[in-house]
Amino acid sequence: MSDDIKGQIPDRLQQFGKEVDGLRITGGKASPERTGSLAGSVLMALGLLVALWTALAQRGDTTSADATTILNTIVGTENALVVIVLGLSLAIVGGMLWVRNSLTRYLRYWLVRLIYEDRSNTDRLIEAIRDSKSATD
Amino acid sequence: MSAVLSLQRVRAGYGGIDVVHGVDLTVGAGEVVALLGPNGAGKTTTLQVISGQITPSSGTVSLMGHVVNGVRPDKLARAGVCLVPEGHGVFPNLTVRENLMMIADSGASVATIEEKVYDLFPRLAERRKQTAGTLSGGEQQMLALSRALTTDPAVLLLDELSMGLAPMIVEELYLRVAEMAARGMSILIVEQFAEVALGVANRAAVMVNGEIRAIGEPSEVAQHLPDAYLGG
Repeated sequence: MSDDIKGQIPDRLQQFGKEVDGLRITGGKASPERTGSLAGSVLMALGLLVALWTALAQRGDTTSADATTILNTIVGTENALVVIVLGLSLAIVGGMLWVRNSLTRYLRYWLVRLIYEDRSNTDRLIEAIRDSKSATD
Repeated sequence: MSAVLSLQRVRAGYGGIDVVHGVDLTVGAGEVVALLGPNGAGKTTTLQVISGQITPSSGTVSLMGHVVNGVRPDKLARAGVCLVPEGHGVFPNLTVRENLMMIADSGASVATIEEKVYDLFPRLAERRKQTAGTLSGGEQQMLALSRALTTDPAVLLLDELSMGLAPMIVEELYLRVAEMAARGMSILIVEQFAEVALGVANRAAVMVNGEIRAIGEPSEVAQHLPDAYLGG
């Protein structure tokens, strides 16, 4: 190995090490979209449940006699509207998260399919051009 | 010095089904490691895990000692991890020159890139205005490889470089690979054409059903190949 080459190895690797060090490591889990869409569904259901329960408790319509007492203890009846809005906001955020992640998964498959179709179309076109060229030759 | 690339107990797959089951593998600086095995062994999936296209379901992928699980493929590519995919990774509708222009935003000018590429593979200079899809299989693979090499990667991942190519072309391509390794590049080769890969590799591993069955010097590993391919 030449001196010139020997000198290049540590430099490139040092630079590589620095660049890898600067990467934003997320810790990564498999299928982040699946996790995201599951989290979205849970948030949506939880938000709706909180909003509904609070509304019923505030009106005194709930079958549980303790519900109004619990609501009073936690936030006070006068703050029930805030809890309902928060619950609905949570449901909306959850819904957006679910749509975003479900769409990402679907669009990724769609994009890959398009690329493969485009590539096979090009291959077919090239084959046809080759065939017609060899026929004329 | 620690390994440039290291995989520890990596499990990965598609749609919740693992096809790679606890792979341990290292590639040092300037080392060429050949990953061999039959179809469906999980070799390509392993490369996709290293290049960030698939996140491992467990285990760790490390570069220069840093765990990089979950890092996006584009970020890994910019850092210096380069994958030459199976089946000529070129843009078939673009010309040779346009294909090379696609890597110009990596910092070097198109002229510099062209000079390097045509120096590596003079045949591509004659084809510079031809669309990549109309090149022969060997020329497409030369273009894919040269495009990878001009980005000066620290880790080069080659997936079935020899697929569908004439032995002479394969030899020429692997000659370039050996030159790059001599310059300190760490290279992981995935191949079914074991003979050529073993010829350039410092170490080799045999993968069967998602597991590494043998690893060591190419001459030692060569003895395990018949069993691997014949299902022994």
